Amino acid sequence: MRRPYSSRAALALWLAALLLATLTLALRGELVTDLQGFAPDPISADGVALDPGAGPAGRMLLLAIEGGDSRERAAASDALVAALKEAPEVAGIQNGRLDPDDPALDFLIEHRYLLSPRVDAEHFSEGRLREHLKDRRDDLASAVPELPRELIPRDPTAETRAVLERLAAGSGHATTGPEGVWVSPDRDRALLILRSAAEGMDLDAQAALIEHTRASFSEHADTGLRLQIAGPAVIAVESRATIRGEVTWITAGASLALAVLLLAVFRHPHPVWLAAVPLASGILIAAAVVTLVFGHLHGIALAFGITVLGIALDYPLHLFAHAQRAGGERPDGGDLSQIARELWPAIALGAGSTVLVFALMAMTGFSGMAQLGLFVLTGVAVAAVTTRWILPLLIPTRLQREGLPPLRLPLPAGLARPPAITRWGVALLALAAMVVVANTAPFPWEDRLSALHPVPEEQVALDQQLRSALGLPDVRHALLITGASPEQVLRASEALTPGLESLREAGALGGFAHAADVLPSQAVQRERQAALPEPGLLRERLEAARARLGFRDGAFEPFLRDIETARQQERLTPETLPDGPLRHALNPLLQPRDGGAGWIAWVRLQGVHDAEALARWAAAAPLAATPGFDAVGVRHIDFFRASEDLVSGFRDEALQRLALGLVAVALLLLAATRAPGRSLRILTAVGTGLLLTLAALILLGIQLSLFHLIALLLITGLCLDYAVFFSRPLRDAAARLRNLRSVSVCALSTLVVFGLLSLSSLPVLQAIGLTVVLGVVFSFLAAALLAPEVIRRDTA
Amino acid sequence: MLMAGLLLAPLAAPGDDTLGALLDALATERATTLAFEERRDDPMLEFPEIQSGSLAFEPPDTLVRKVDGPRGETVHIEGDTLTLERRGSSREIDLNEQPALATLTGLFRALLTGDRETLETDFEIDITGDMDAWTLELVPRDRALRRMVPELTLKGAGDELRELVTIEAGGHQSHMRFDPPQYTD
Repeated sequence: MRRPYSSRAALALWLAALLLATLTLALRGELVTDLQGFAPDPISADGVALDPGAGPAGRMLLLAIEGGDSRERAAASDALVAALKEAPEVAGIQNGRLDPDDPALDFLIEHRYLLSPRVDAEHFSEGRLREHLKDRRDDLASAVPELPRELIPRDPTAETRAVLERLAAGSGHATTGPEGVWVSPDRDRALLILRSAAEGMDLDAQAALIEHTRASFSEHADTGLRLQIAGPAVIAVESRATIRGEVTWITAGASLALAVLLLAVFRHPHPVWLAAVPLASGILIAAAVVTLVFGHLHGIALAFGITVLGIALDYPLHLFAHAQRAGGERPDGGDLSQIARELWPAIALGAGSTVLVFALMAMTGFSGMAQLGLFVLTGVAVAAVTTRWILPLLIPTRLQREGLPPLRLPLPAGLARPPAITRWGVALLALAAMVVVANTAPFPWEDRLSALHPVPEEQVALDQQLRSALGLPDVRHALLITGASPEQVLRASEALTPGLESLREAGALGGFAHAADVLPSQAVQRERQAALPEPGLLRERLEAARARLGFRDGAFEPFLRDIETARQQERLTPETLPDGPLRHALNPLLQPRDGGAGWIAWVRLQGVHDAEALARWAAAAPLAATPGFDAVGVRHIDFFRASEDLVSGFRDEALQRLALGLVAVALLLLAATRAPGRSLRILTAVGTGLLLTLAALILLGIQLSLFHLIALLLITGLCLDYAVFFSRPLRDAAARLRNLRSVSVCALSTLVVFGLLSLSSLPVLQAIGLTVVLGVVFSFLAAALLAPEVIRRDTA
Repeated sequence: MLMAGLLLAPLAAPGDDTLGALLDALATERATTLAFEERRDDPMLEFPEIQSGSLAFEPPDTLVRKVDGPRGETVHIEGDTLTLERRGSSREIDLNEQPALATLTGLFRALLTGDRETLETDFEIDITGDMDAWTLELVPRDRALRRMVPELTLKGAGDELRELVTIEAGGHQSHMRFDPPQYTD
């Protein structure tokens, strides 16, 4: 049998579209996984991106080595530093050991008078010098000198120590063990801090780095030692891997179960694989379209989109369910193309309504939701069109001619002719559900992003343990300072110090560190230089101060030389700082703004006990009274809040769009069917299905997350489909029965897939699975019971 | 038993193991006090500084170094805590935060308890002479400590420590001479 010209054209078009989509994805496909791309506008404060992983803490990996004895652990710690410090993906790795030969240490000593917070005019008075020289004289005789004896000629006032202490305070306060490396308080573990070059939420890069770190460790460390890695990136990478693993096996299991179900129902192999064709075409083309429109495809939009596209599986099932031969004869409706043409109004109405809902979502400014909307609407449209025009052509000619065997699908008789009382039952249930939903206050929304991640408890515990052992700053709170130049934000950091100090004294926070601790502003450096006495004066004071202490003449010439050098010294700027501990400490705290003029500085906070007091203080413009800071912004940033705002923003927007969408769907139904009664039935069924699902979730005591919402979107689409089919004005009983069977097959297959999902141990998958299962049951019942009355005359 | 003895025999200390013999001789389970005189030659000072004092050990691990005179001080080390007393004020130091001090403390504890493993892990050891007149030259293995203290030399006869010379960076040098031990228990 030669296919007609139009069929060949349709096939060619379809194949060309698939090819183009594949090419688009192969050439331009970019899967983005950071949250930033999913946000309405980038989550930001004053234009500074606030990805939960982008704060100063997000790039940090905390490493712990355990097992063996303390020496072995220290050796492994040193070996790991040596192996990783030059790696391009590592911005820095520290284990607490100060390298005595590090040129950066010399740089620090050379610039100590610019960096030391103690330098002021009083600092080099004769009286103070005398006190310092007495201490140094004791150091010369002592078994336990306060300052290393070799530094005494250069640095009798111990400025080096002050600078090192200041630097160490900013980067945490870990315990150093007897072997000279950081250890946990119980000394059973050696600790290291690794900072990645990549963004904290660049999960592929983080996963590679974690892998590389483990490989280096097993290469260099003795057997018997174990490496533990913690940090926000580890948690994110692990939860992603867990989700992937579980999704993989559940998908495989669900596909298998679905195949078995379809095989059992249709009693023929072809419908099993053909059912996947519209769905697969939809996913492929939708992914390509989103990529073309947005320039990339967000991983979350893809995952959610594929979930919601589950509706697309229904279209081919409707087709097959209607294509069975009745009692060994050819189906009444003729060949499959004929059946597809007959079903098209119903499929088009259901798909069209779904497309409308998601078109409204696609038009939001919320980039992630716009992607999801476009993905689903494209996918649904493609799947519907594929079912209508392509699928009949793919079915082998013999099967076309003979039709499919009768469905093996026993259905309770009550479903075909529901007793009137059940309708009242549904109405009552819907009313009760409305009461439940309306009376639930506060609504149990779950906005914490962490609640969505399947984070293993022990991983969180390890993170907290290591974080507190290393004295690292709070991952949640920070202050953000924005200004025009590095000098301005550094001066602002200095000006904020007294305020922060009083917050600390009031117990609102445990401690703080800012960029000016590492690199003082030019103004402060200039003040310090001005405070250094000129050579003649200093020599005079020094001579007087060292009297009768037994120091040799000229013992402090190196000190006099160093002070004179410091007076003339070029002041330090962020740009001229060499690589080394100073730069490592400064970089995370002081950065030029992304893609724009201006600079930002972070204030790290430790042990925030009273976040509200902190926020109040920051909101009250603590710099307003100080002149010169008009254009400087100071903000308290709560990274968790930022991500919670993202989630709740997404949720509110999605709900709004859903409501708007249903109104639009009502208009569409009315216009398309020109039957107000049928439109009302469909809308009531959808409303009832959603309401019952929501009430059931609330009664089960479930906190509703983003994932429940995504599931509700899918249910909306499914319920639209069921209700459209159930409300078809069919006259003869056989057609009605076929119709019922068709919807039942769809509902059953969705139940199988999402039922398996609800068995998952992961909260995300469980949420989606359970919600869809509930939704399918309620939608099916609502749609079936709200179907028009059987017209007795025809069945008789 | 016999087989086991034969197998173990080659592992036993060979006869010319002076370090083993020396550590056996120095190790003590008794409270011991050594009086000393220290001479510090220091490029920062007009004259060499001469001080006298005592070094005491109390099992299992307490060390007390006492120096008399106007610049006198007492260093008391017990466990991981070092207490420095000088002119009526005292300061506590956690040895875990001072790796260099911890290693030097470990050296004396190792000598007095015969802990050869610690000694050999922390220092390169060169031993010359015989048990009647031995010289032990120690070079710290840790780079940071070696920069501060490039070399320590101990001299003695039999189970008696007679001299300790400490060379420090920057030309600082200490020379301690010990009197024969006094047992205080």
